[in-house]
Amino acid sequence: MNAPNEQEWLQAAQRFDPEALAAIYDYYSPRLYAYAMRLLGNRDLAEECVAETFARFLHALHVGHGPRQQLQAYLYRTAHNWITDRYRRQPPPSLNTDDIDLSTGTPNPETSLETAWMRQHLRRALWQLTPDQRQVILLRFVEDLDNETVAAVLQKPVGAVKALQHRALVALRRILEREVENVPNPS
Amino acid sequence: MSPTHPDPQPDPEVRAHLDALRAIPPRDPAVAAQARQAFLEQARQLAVSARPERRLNRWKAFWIGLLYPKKEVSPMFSALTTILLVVSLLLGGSGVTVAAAQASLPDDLLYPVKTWSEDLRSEITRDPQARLNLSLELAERRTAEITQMVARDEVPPEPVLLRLQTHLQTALQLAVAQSDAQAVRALERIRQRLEIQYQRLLQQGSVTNPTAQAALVRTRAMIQTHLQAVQEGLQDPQILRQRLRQGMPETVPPQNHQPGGNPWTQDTPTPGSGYGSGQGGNPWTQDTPTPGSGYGSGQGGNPWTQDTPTPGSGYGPGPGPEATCTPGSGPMMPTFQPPRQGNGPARP
Repeated sequence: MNAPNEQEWLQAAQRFDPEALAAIYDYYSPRLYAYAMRLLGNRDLAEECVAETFARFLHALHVGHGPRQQLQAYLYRTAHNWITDRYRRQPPPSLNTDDIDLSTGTPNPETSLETAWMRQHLRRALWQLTPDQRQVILLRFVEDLDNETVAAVLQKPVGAVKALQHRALVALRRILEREVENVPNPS
Repeated sequence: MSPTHPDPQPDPEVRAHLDALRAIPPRDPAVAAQARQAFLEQARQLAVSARPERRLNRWKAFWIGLLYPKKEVSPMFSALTTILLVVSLLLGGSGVTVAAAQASLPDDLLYPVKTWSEDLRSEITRDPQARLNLSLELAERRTAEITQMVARDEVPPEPVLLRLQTHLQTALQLAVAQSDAQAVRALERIRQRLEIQYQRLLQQGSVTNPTAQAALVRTRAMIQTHLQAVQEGLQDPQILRQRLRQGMPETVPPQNHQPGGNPWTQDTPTPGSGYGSGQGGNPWTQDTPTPGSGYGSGQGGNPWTQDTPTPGSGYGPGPGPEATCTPGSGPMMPTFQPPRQGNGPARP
């Protein structure tokens, strides 16, 4: 799902037009925050990811690089690379973090706990996938991006993305089964 | 969606997990506003200047990157420096420091540069003959260093002796790695050079520092051990190959080489402590030794056997404390048998 005036924003952003930059930030930063939050499960890290992604975007514009089109794909790719690079040489982030939030409007705390439990298991499973597999699962089935946009993010042909998607789903299914077998349900 | 490829979808269970990930706690508005403000401020600072000629473009970025390399460029810079250094070494070792280091002794500051340059030469020398020559040359260097230090009553550090042993063993291994005829020629060359080294060590005058003297004796024993191995190899290279596969015998450990007295200290010993200059007898026991037990005050011969030795075997009761060494009297063993006068810290 692209913003309707993305190309105009991009052209204005290359001139460092403050209004265009503010519009880009306002439109994409909540999406990037949600993406990082879903993967990292930590507010501070998610904020850091957003800040770093936009800082890289500005720097790229400054040195004459940066995206010429597909701004959304560029920003998701940058955010994903930041997360992957950050955890390449160290364990994935602690997954028992602050998103077990019972005040999000769910009337039944038990349901909320169960959701949080599923979320943690999914995150653990996602971190056992390859970075590309993790990215395609999140973008396609959580962020609800279409295949063409995901292909632009991954810089792969649509056919390759579908093949990757298939392998990712199989792997995720297998890992989740193993995770559920090994970890007792807290409820 | 591509018409030729199906679009794989998650099964209900996986879908349920994925749906659980959708809901996230709300973003803190204050933090979000602060982040937005920081982004816009950063954008304002980086904004293009009014004058186009002052803007940063790709060419300017290229030149700036070249003139002021970022840390990511440093590894390449470091690699380039290394390559230049190696090339300068290959072209005659013209590096001033490296050249100056070649005359250094183990207690000099530049000595590590010397050993580093030697290691580098060993690494880049591929031809077996050249490597053999290099090993012999380095062994001669080590011997010369030891001789010079001992002449000044200084004690050569242990690593120097170990390096000498490594050079000698490398030379032997390279020699026997060839065909028998070539091995014999190489061993003959090694023999000649080792004999020269041994003679130089023998010519070393008296040394007052007992520790330095011990190191000198140990070096002689090491050279002699390898000389004997070479002699064997000259008779039958196959025997030497087998011996090298089993590992060359170690030279006698330093504490067994003490010609008398404890080289580690010259202080007055604490009675019964076992430490000191070694004149205090065996600290482990004052009893009369049981004949053949090897324990006691240490005046006996070889405690392991009292049998008549097989001639040339090197085994037997031993000639006792006053014996002198006979080069070549036993295979692959240093002929030096230090008289067992003082026991000092040596194991009983």
